[in-house]
Parts: sequence; C-alpha cells; structure tokens
Amino acid sequence: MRFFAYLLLTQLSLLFPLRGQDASKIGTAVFDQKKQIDQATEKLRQAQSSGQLDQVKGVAKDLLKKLPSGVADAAKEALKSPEAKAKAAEAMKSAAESLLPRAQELLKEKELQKAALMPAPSVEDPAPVVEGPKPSALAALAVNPAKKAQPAVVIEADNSVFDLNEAIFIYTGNVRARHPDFYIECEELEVYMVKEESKKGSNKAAPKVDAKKFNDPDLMKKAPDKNPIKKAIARGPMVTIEKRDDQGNVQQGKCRRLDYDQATGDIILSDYPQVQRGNVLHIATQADTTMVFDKTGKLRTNGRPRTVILSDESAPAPGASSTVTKP
Amino acid sequence: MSRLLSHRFGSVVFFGFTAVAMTTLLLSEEKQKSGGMSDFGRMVPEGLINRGVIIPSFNQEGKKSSELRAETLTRIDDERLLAEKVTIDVYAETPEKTLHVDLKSAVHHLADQLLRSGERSVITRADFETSGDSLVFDATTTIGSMKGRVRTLIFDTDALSGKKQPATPPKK
Repeated sequence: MRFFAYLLLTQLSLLFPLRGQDASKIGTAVFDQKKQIDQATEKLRQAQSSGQLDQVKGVAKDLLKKLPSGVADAAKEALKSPEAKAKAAEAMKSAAESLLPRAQELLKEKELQKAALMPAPSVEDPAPVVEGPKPSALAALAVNPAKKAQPAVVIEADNSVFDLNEAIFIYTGNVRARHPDFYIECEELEVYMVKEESKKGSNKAAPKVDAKKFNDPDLMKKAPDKNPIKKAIARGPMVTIEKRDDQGNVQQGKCRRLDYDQATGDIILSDYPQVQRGNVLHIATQADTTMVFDKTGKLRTNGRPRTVILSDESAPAPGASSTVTKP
Repeated sequence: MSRLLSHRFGSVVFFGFTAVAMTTLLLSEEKQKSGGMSDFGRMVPEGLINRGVIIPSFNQEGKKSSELRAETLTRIDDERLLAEKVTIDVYAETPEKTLHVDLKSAVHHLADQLLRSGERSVITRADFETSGDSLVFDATTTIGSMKGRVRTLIFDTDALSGKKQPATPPKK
C-alpha cells in the first residue's frame, strides 16, 4: 500500500508543475493510461471468469515452492524493505555457488565423452623415462629336481583292502605292479610295507659305510636293500613276472604263487612255475618245484624241471616236434 | 529242608542279578566307545548344515590323534552324517607317518563309525599314495577298502634322502 501511495504522490507532484501549455498533452497521456488500465482490468475480469487466472496462480505457486527457501524469503522481505535486497542477492549468490559445481561436473562429463570418441593427440617429445628398481616376483628356492619324490612302485588293481597301522595292502582283480626290478601281473597281491619302527631299527643297526667305498658298484649290490616293500605275495591262476638278468635280457616267468622277500631280494616262483629266457623255456614237472630269481636276475631251480629249447620258426605245425627237451 | 531251598533260591537270585548287571555294564561300555566325529554328530540337529567344521579327536593320553575338516556337515538321519570336501589327518608319533585322507564327499555312519565315499578318494602318507573310485574307511583303526581303479604309488623315502641310488626301472 505504501508503494502505491508513493506512486500516486509522485504522479501528482509531476502533474502540478505542468499546468499550462503542455497540460493538455499530459492530460491525454493520462487518459490513454487510464484507458490501458481499464482494458487490463477488463482482461483480468475475463480471465477470472474463465478460470485462466486461477491456473496462472497455481503455476506461480508451484514455481515459488520450487525456489530455495532462502531466496523466497529474501524476495518477500525485499518487497517490504530495501535493506533486504542485499540479503536476497547474497542468497542468490549462495544458491548459484551450490549449483555451479554440479553444472561444471556435467560439463566435464560431456567433454570426456567427446574426448573418448576423439583420437588421442600424439606426443612429439615425451618426458625422459627414469630407470630404477622395479618390483618383481621372488626367486624360487634352490630345489634339486632330482630329489623330487619318484614312485618306486606303482600298483594298479580293481579293488584293495588295507590296514595302515600294520602297513598291509591286499589288491584283487587285474593287479599290475611295476617295481624298479620287476613287473608283475596277477589276480591277488599282498604287499607288506616296511613299517617306520623297523626302518628306524634297521638304520640304527646298519654299519657306517666309508665314503670312498660308497661309489663301488659291487658294494652297492651287496648293500642292504632299502626297498619300501618288505614282503609281497602274488597269487592267481596265472601269475606273470618279467625280470631282467644281469645282462639285461628279459626273463618271463609264470606260476600260481610268487613270493618276494626284501631281506634276501629273492623272488620265488612256486606251484608249477615256468620261466622263459629267449628261446629257452624251463618248466617245472612237480608241484613242489620252485624257481628263484635272485637280486641280480639269475635263475635258480629247486626240484625237477624240464628245459625246452624253442625253435626260431614263427609258426610251428601243431603236433610237430620243434623243440628239444632236456630232462 | 526249607532253609536249604531258601538258601539256594537266594544264591540263584544273587548270581542272576550279578550276571544281568555285568552284561548291562559291558553293553553300556561298548556303546560308549565312540570317537570325536560320533560325539559331535549326535549333537548336530537333523537337516542343519554346518559349515567349516573341524572335529579333533584325542587319545586316552589327551594327545590329538586325528582331525577331521569338512566344508559342510549335515545330519541326514539318526545314523548318518553327510560331509563334503572332507580331509582327515590321522596323526602318528612321527610326522612322516601322519595319514592324510582326502574325500570329495563322504557319509559317516555313527553306529559303526565308518566313513563311506562314493567318489574318488585319496589316502596319502609320506611313503605312499593310494586312490580309488570309492572308499570305506575306519579312522580309528585305519583299516579300509577301495574299489574301482585303485592305484597305489609307493615312494622310496630313502632315495629321497639320498641313502640309496634308484634302480633302473623295467621298460614295460
């Protein structure tokens, strides 16, 4: 109201000194203004009657709600007093400051997207690279690959039963055992491993070997066997063993029972055994005849054998005597 | 006469009661023979999945005799426990004799204390390694059996320590 009163007073103060020559001109101007005001009020009435004014008011209210609270309050106060204008300006500044970083981030993102699409600029003079210590993986410990645990014996079978306390394994069904000294195929194999206690005992009892004599091959042959298998018994309708002699020739033995003893290193074939080396075949004629392979592969027969020398012909006629028999 | 009869009757009753008491005591003692796995298994509620299970067993001297580790342990019913990704260490006097049993899955029977696995299992010790398609194993007695594609590797531990020169293997 003060504002409107101030406006009216200023208009009157302007009109009073202008009485005279230009009074008619000013009078026409005021008349025109009155006419415009009348037209505006008429339009307002029409808008009010049609409901457009209410819609505009609603939109204005929504806009006011969206404004920051500080700005709205400052604007209201600015209408009341000119001192509050400064506060309103400050509020506007703070609002702008709070919104500016977000706007800058959005701009940067847009720029980055553009930069990703564009090829990288080539650098003509790169900065000099300073060579220094680089981090790298630690070097492995010096492990001798020769000392990796290699299996001395490999046994394959269909089934097995074991007592680990007693170190006994019993294999059944298609048993195949590969030992450094021999190869066995059978249906049932009993393996008695060396127990730790007995190993310790044997180590204590073992005499000290001179380092110079240690490399002697004959001494190695005589040295006690450190084989992990103490005893093994193979059984079945057909036990097959392959063992090389000291000259490297393969000897194939067949029997129904085979005993291996670590203490002596002997392999005893019993229950009608037979051994073939080259074209010479030794066949047991009695059940109690045994054939023994010693550690070096030499064959020894106990009992009554029959020796058959097979001919070199590949396909002998059935019934034809192509062998020489020695009683 | 009546005194004699009553004396005989009394002695019969006394010996009868003694026999019954002894039998009950023996049976109860036999029932109490159980390991760590069985004791733990009885506490597990049916159907509850226990994750990251470690079950140690101790001998009469209080020394740890074995340790079972399982990723999951579930009680199937009153008599059976299902364990997955199982490893059992059966300790011995020396570390070389310590047994290591590796099972993908196993069923432990509380009554007979047997561990059964239908998957390929491995038993390892310093001097041997044996594996098979299925395993039945008694951890208390270390007696067991394997079925299907059984393969045993026996290592020469003396060769590892350089005590013996390895012999030349046969060509076959």
